[in-house]
Amino acid sequence: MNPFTEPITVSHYLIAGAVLFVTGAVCMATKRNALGVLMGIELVLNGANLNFVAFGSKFLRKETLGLDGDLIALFVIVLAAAEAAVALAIALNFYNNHATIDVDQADELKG
Amino acid sequence: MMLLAAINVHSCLFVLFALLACGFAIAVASTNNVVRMAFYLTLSLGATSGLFFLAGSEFVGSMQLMIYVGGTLVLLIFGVMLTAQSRFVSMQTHAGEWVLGLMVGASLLGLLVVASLGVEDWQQKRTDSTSIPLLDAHNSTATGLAFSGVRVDQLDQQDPVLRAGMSGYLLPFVIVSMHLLVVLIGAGYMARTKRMSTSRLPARPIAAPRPDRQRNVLVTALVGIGMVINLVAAIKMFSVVPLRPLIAENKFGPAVSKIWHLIPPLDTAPQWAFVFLGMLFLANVLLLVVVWNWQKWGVIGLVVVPLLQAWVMSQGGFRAMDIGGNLAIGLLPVVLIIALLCTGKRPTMWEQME
Repeated sequence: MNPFTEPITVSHYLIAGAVLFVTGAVCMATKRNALGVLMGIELVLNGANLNFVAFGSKFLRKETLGLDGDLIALFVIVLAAAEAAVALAIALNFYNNHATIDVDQADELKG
Repeated sequence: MMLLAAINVHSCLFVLFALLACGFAIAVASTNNVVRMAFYLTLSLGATSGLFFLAGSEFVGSMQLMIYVGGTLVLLIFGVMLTAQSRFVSMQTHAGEWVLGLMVGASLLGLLVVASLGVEDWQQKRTDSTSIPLLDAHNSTATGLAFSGVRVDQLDQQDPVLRAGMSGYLLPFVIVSMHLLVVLIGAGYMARTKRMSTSRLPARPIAAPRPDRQRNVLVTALVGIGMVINLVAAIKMFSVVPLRPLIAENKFGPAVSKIWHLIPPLDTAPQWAFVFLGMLFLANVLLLVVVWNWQKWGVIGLVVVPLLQAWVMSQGGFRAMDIGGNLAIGLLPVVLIIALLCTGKRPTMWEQME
């Protein structure tokens, strides 16, 4: 498994994707700034995208997902853009109404 | 020259881009400054597009650069700039939340890595990747045609039933573009600055005054000693497994062996029990750090861990004497800490904890 002399495999891509996914999840869990949580979501989506591309790649395996991997990755990118726009609008609205961006203070619905 | 010939450039570039992507992602998660987070995220997403190029999906890679780095991230950076008052630029996370988040993250990472190494087919190397014709490997045209409803990559599909379902991704493409349009209009409508209809100004959040917390000297000493003892105990537990065969061969002389055999479970109990006990001792160290950072749940954890240890020991066939002794040694200091926390000058330390 020496990555300097031997060709890489799908597993290598999956591990890189897993690291991106987990750091994104930890980022979402620990950040107090709403924008930090958003950045965590972007990282998670990127980790998932990396897996799709790896499964569709012809360079890594003979039998692949084919074009579908790339296409799904493109859809994920577009949906991530839409999600970021809406979440940012919500965050700005919250900031306008409450003069804070700290998610810990968004507790008006707390029972 | 032999060395240079052996090096696989594709793999080296993969390692470089993967390290950049993962390293900057970790930097995003670990920094508290939101401006730096945005910068590191840009670099991480850029490096990920490099990984896409290396996998032969140049269309996805360039879209990653154009939409993600050029669009979504610019949006995020504008959000950062619009809300970057000095008190929101870097907000500290509580130590307890870090500990919990890292525990969940580490277990998730372990699971995912084991899963991605678990399938034999995913580790098959493609040794002939240089022999893939370049025209064949590059798929921008095929991707574009698939979006407009023609799958040129599956023209050799013989089954008429499957051919009927091969209409590509035209409908999802139209749906996703409508979705994006609606979402962007909605976001623009929602984010616009409204003139306040009521005269009520948004209440400024009152920054909670940091209480001037005083630590009791005795509690400090107990927590410190507890950390050292638990760390030593954890190391001991982890060392039982490798040491056991050496003791059996009498490698350390008869005196050590004699002391070792005084405690029968060291020879008879299963190895997994010692691993679990060591992990629980390490958990104790973490919980003491949590208690040190004024979190009440650390104290609860300190009570739960000895009970868990007793359960592990009873599963591993330890003697009742050992279980009881360990329970007493584990619980007595905790009781002492709780007593010290609840007594003393008001406000007591317990009242100051979160």
